[in-house]
Amino acid sequence: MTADCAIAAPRAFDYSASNTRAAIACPHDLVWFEVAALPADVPDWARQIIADGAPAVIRRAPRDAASLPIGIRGVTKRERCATRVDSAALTRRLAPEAIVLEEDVVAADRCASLAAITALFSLCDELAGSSSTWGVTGALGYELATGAAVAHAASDIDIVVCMPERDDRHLETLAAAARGCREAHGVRCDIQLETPAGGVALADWLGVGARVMIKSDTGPYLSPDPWQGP
Amino acid sequence: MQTLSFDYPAGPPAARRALAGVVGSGDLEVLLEPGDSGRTTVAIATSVDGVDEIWRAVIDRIFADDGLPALKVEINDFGATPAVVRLRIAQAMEQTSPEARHD
Repeated sequence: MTADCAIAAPRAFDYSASNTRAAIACPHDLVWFEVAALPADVPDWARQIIADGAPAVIRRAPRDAASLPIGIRGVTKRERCATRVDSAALTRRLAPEAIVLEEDVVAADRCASLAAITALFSLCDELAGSSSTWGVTGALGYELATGAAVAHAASDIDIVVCMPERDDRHLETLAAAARGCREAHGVRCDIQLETPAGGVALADWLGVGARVMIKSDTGPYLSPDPWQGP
Repeated sequence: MQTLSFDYPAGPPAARRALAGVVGSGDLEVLLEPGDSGRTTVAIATSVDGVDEIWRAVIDRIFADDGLPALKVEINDFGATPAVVRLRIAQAMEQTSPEARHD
């Protein structure tokens, strides 16, 4: 694993934070910390996962200098624990764009059994020519970052793409890449655009609706254009 | 995969159908169609098991008002939060009213 972001440096494209100076981690980042940093009301299964050395995921909720919103991924979809952790407790942070996407980091049997992994490597090739910052999130990102076998045969690909300014050509490239995933590999690729206002699904932006849903730190809202202010 | 269904008293049928939301993690698709007069039905297909009570609470709050138009509601959920559920249903409902512009 290479290129962990420095703990104290905010991600360059973290426009969704209302107070970027204080934001030391962004939604989708994986973060590691000691289990003792968890609040007392966290269930035992979640406590065990952190004690075993697994990371939590930064959620989209208010972030400040003191504490960060995290989610802990359990074995089943039902086992999801939303809580907060002291910012100072973080020992490591891994942003989606820093997750290593190379075939030799994935066990051969996982490559063979997960269509999403094969599809992800094709997607990497398709996006290699673009200069945008992007990374893999969701179950696949978690598996590639930690080696824990959490993805399954029906897993889709979740990616987040930094788009500080609207770029119609790149939006077309992304839409074509998602279509390619589905047609060539039978895998759905959900593309989340990280805009100045917050996270927006590419499918929503390309859809027929006059407004799109923006996922912000303070909750979702509808807006006609995430690049034109709220 | 789990399916849930709920049922509420309602007014006359809604004026038109409407669609909101997208297929994608943390989101949902909601399809609203005019329902049978006096009755709103809600059918939910969700990829997350074991959260019936949360769904019931969220959907009850939206449709418990029996003055609303009758709707046939279909939801395909991909792990949306309650806030996203409320927003997407409101977005679709706006478009079912007779005076709605095409959103």
